[in-house]
Amino acid sequence: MPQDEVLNKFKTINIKLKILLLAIYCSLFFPPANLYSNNDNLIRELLWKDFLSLGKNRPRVAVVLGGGGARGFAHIGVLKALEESKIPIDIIVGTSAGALIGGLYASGMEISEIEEIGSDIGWNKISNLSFFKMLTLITADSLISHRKLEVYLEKHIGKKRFDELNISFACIACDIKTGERIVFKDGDVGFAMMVSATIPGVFKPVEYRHRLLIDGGVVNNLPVDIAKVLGADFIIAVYPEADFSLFEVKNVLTTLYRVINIQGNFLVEDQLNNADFAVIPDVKSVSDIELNRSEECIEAGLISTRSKVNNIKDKVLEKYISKIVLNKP
Amino acid sequence: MKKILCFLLSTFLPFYLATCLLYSEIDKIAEKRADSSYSIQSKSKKEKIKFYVSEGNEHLIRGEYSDAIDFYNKARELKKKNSNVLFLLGEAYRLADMKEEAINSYEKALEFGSKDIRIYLGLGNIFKLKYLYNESEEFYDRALKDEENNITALRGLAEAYETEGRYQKSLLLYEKIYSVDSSHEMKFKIAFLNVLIGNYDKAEKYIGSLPGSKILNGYINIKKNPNLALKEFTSTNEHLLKALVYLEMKNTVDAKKDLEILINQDENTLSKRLATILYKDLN
Repeated sequence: MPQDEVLNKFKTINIKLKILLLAIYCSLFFPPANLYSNNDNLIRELLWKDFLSLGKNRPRVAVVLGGGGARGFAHIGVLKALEESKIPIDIIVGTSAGALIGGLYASGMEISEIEEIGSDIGWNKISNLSFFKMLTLITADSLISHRKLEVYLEKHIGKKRFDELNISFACIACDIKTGERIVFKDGDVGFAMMVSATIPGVFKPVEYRHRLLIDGGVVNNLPVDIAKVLGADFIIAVYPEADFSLFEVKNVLTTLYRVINIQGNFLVEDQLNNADFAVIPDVKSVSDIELNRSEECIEAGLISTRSKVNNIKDKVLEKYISKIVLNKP
Repeated sequence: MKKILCFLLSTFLPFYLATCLLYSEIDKIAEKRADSSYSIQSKSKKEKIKFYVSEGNEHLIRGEYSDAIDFYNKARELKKKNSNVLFLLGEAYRLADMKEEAINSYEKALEFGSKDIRIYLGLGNIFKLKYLYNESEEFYDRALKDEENNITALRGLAEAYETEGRYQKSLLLYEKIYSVDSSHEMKFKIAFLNVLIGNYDKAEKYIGSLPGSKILNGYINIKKNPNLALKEFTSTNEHLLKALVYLEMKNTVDAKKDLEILINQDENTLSKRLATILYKDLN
């Protein structure tokens, strides 16, 4: 065989081998089972489109944001994931940290802005709480003023009233005189958010009409029932649970806080069972006061929700398929 | 007696032969490894690294990721800052779904001077699987800075945008890919996204021949002309949509027939669950 022919044959084989290797490499990056060979994904997205186009007849979706101190930053990630997946949010109900994040979102603030606030927050911005003050809290005759938190919220939300919000919103407080649960759904939003997050034993209770109000987490850390009262058809409950075994009980204050949290957890169990879907972001190792871990919490909320978005849509479709198909406008 | 012997031989002989073959294969592999191990003892560090990398590559191509990882780690022990080995380790960890280890290896490869675009593609892929789309996009963008039309990066970025609900951005990228790779899969993606944004006329132009395309086509027909839609349904995957069309036409009898087919299937799919609920509500 002439040398040229041999060389040409070799070149052809060489090229074919290279193409084969490239194809193998590409298939390693993108395995053959493509997203839509699974019809479920396709049916889900098409029917979701139909669900959204029900307009005024569409079932109302509520997001209930539980308390959890610094862990509450996870709510930012949750809301972001719901928004990008086109899961509508018609009602928000929050307690404590849930009230703060929920109120900001309900006021129309962009999620990216709330993320910035979350990344930038510190105890110095919302209180006069210092290390020394923390140490002396248990013997002090006056607790920390909530004025700084009030000013901080006013800066971001202005003097908005509940009826001016983009999304229906309510938040929970507790009357320390009577133990009653107080639901804020009208009046000054910033004030209501601040009251809902008035941590007992740290911030001074807030005088409001004839009541003395503190953090709603004491009586209802995950107000799913309030979402139903407000007219929610489908409720997504978000609870940034803590693993208390990871935190030491060092002194009177941490003991008091542990007791409040344990009680809060018992109250949450029933509420979780009454929700249509529960999201529990993986923030168990973050304590209530670790505001410096806000970015970690936001990411945890984002990942937990993104991984469950298809399940949420499935639950909604299963609950309302007849409405989508049979009761079209 | 003869019959019993024949039965025993026919049952156990194949098994015995298979076991012998298997053990002889295992023996061969062990022998080969022992030979290699013995023969590289005298080799230089550079040659040993080359050998381990070569062995690792063989295992990687065969999908034997943990063996590949072992060999790459042996190579790495000999030279910790070898960016090529670190890149290969990253690949092996990624394919073995060991995400944190993969990220660690890739980042070290970058730290020690590797400029291989596949590192950015690998990191983009991993962060997408971890649901961290911002980070994923950053790495795909970084890959595109090196290679503007890298299909893998464009595709990864398009998928990330799509999952985040940024359909227009995703569509632009898929259209760019389609101009180079006019596969059925790309056609389908473009058709699907156009359906999601309500652009049915454009979607129709891109309907291909993947199984999902028939469902998409059926959906578009339902929106445009339900009567026509019924004639177009040919695939067994379309029973739910067919039932929906019958219900649109108030024909519950035929709708129930299609729903029953879905209800009787074995796999617990979303279509089956929805069909079960609809069927109950129709009764």
